[in-house]
Formats: sequence, structure tokens, C-alpha cells
Amino acid sequence: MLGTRAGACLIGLSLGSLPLSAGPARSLPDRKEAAVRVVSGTRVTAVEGESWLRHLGVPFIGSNMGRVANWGEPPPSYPGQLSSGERPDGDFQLSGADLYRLNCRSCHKADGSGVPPEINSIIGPVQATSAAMIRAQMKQRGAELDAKTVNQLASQAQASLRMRLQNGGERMPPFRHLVPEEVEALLAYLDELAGIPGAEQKQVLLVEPASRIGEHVVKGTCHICHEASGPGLAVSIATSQSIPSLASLPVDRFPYEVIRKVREGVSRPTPMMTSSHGQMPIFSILTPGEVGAAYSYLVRYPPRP
Amino acid sequence: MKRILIVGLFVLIPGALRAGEIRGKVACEGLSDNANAVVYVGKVAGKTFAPPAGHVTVDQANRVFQPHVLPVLVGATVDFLNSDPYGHNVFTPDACADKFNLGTFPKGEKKSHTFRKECFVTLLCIVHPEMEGFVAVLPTPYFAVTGPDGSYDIHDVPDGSYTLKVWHPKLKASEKPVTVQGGAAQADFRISR
Repeated sequence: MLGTRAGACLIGLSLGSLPLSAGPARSLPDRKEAAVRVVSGTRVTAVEGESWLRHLGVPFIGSNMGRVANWGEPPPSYPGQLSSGERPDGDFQLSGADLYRLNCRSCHKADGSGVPPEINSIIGPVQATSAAMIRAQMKQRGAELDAKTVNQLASQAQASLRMRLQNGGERMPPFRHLVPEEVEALLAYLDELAGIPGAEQKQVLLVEPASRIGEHVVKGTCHICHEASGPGLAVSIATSQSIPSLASLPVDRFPYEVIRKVREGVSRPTPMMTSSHGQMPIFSILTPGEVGAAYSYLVRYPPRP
Repeated sequence: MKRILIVGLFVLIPGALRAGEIRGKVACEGLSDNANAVVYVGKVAGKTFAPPAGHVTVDQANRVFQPHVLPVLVGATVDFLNSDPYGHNVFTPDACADKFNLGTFPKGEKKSHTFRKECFVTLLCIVHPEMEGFVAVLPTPYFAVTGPDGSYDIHDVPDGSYTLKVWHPKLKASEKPVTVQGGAAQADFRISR
């Protein structure tokens, strides 16, 4: 089923040849050197089923994704900084911040504030997991809570947050593809994002294979709008409202085309286009290596209906 | 014929006082409207009231406790319903309400608490710190909450002399004597920070 372009990808796509940084170097806050953990034995699975927007019955144009033209600045990808980057052995090193960027940021925004009421802020639910934050909140209200109640509230909120991540909600997809190490790294970053004291010291770096990075990109970002299987680019051009399926991408596009389209917003060759980059937002928050990994993942793990 | 005409006029006069009614207006100084003041008859010496048999509901919808202020009689049980498509928690830091914590629960579920002491209870959701609601646990069943224009209407109050009190989540409480005689009384308040 896969055409020659996919074959070209399997043979010729060398992620090591792709530039991993596209933006200016940014300094990160001081923190202890993060612990590096190699995540091995993770079972990568194909993306399947309808897009999350179709599941919700929300048209692309009416969604937050459809309203945003550019998903922000590229991530820092320099040695010594906590950011996704390809290592010489072909694996990727990624932080909780990267996991957030690949799985959460498209909906909850860089600062976690979301787009209420369509998409909730994650800051409140995360702050609720911290006894220190609960005490501060109560102090601000002029109220006092005993330590037992504070700890009980924090642990209830912690359980609720983990359950939310695992099972999703009425309007949030479940993130069952995250393994425990990833969940811990992500939660540590959420703590930092929510301003919980001491969170900087809890950050970890994970080492994962490229296919796993691709799985994060596809399941955490692309699958929000793109169906796993279905019509490809030709149909999408013919009918302005349709979005090509994930399965069609390796068939219809070369890796460099997908990378350019995703990160720079290459225009569609149609006289009906309404903007220079078509309907799809520009994801400059993704590195070329990550988009390449997503392409490779789609080839190796063909999407299922 | 004359009697029928008099009765008819009484019914048709708008704003006429009904039997056993205390009504009036509360002006809330410094606020954008006059809503959410609880006006109630204070403790009546030698008189106790059985707690209501049914439950009252506070809904959590669109990250708001609805109603924002709920007056209940001591002994009443309140059901807290979650109508939002995400988890809510309900708890209070107030000792007079036993600092209850109902935990976090999903859409469609409800949890209950019985309020056994007079108390002005602050309701909070630990997951959504912007959420705040109040339960006023009162000694008599004679109470009402003001609307945006400050008006209130307490029904079924027997004739007698009482202390009429007003409480508001953001303003100082106030009280004044009131006499219900011939089934009707009027009392206005002006409260401030």
C-alpha cells in the first residue's frame, strides 16, 4: 500500500542529517543537572481511529486548532539544555517540557492556561496537588487547614490528575500511550509550569527511540485533527474542508515536504487558499528531527482505521 | 357585592403584602449589585424547627457553585452535584462545618453533607481555586436571598416580634427588630464593608 515515497523514507531518511535546532539559544533557569533515564522496552503502537475533533463533533475551523496560525517559537535544542534532541546513537533525549510540548501544548498552550471554556487551564488542577500551594491559597483567604486535611486534599488532587491523564475526559483525549517514566517526567514539568516550589529540582531527562518520539508527535498533536486512515492529499485539495489522513502522508509526501509543511507552512497549490499556509497551523514548536521521527513512525507503524 | 369588590381590589393591587410575609430591600454599598445577601429571622426563644426531610442541591456547573449563596435550616442535608465534564472537589476550611472534604468526583456524581450547626460556610474546590460558594446554615426556616435589585421576600412567618438579620459574603452583617402583625412587615437594610 505504501508507495515509493515511504520506501524512500525507510531507506534514505537519516534523522542525523536534519538540523535539530531552528531558533536562537535561550537561557533556562538555574537548576540542578537533571537525572537521565533510559526508557527501554516501550511498546510503540500505531495510531488508530477517528481524529479527536471528529470524536467531539467539532469542525476544524471552529476549534482552537483551527484558530491558531502558528504554534509558537521553536524549542531550544542545544547541548546542556533540557530539550528534545537526537543523540549520536539515533535515540532522542527529551525532558518533561518536551513531553508537554509534544502531547499537551497544542491544546493547553505554552503556559498551561488553555483556551477556556473550550479547553481548561491545567494550572489550578496541578497547583492543587501541592500541599505548599494549598497552604498558600488558604493563607491568602485567611483560612487555616490542618496538615492532615491539606495532605488529603493534595493526594486527592494528585490521584484525580493522574486519572485525567490516563482516562481523559469528555473533551480531553486519554493519554494511555504514556508509560510511567513519561508520566513522572511530565508531571514534574507540570509542577514547574504551575510554579510549585522545588519543581526545578525534580526534572528528569528521558532517552527514547525515534519511533517513540514520532508516536508522541502523532498521537499527541497530529491526531487531534488528522484521521488515522482515510483520503489523502488529492481529496483534501478537491474539498477544502477535508484534512488528509495520517496514513496518506507517507504515500503522498516526501519527508522533507512534510517537515517543511509542518514547520514552515508550505502553501497548498490551490487558488482557493485563504492564507499563505493554508488551513493547517504552522508547528514551529516541533524540531525537524521530531517531524522526521513522526514521518518514520507513520511508515513503520501504519495507521489503522 | 361590596365584600367581593374589596377582595378583588386587594388581589389586583400589585406589590400588596401577603400574610406572614417580611419583605424589603438590601442595599449593598460598594458592590456592583445587591444580590446574594441572606435575610433571615434570628433564633426564636423556646422554639426549635425540625430539619427538612428533603435534600437541597448545589450544582457545580461551568466552574461556578450554583446557587452562589444557599440558605438552609440547621440539620439540612445538601447534595453537591458535579455537572461539569471534569472533576470537582468540594471542601470547606470552616470548623463550624467540620471542615468537611468531599473529595474529587466526576460529572454526574453527587456527594452530600449534613450541616448540623449554625454557620456561614465557605465552599471551595481545591482543583479550581477561582470557585467559591456559600451555605448559610440558619436557626429558623424564615429566610430569603436578595436578587440583583436587593429585594427579598420571606414567607409564612407567624405574627410576632423577631430579630431580622442580614448576612453577605463580602459585607458586614447587620440586624434590626421587626414585628409581623396582621401578617405583614417591611424592613430595609444598608450594609457595607
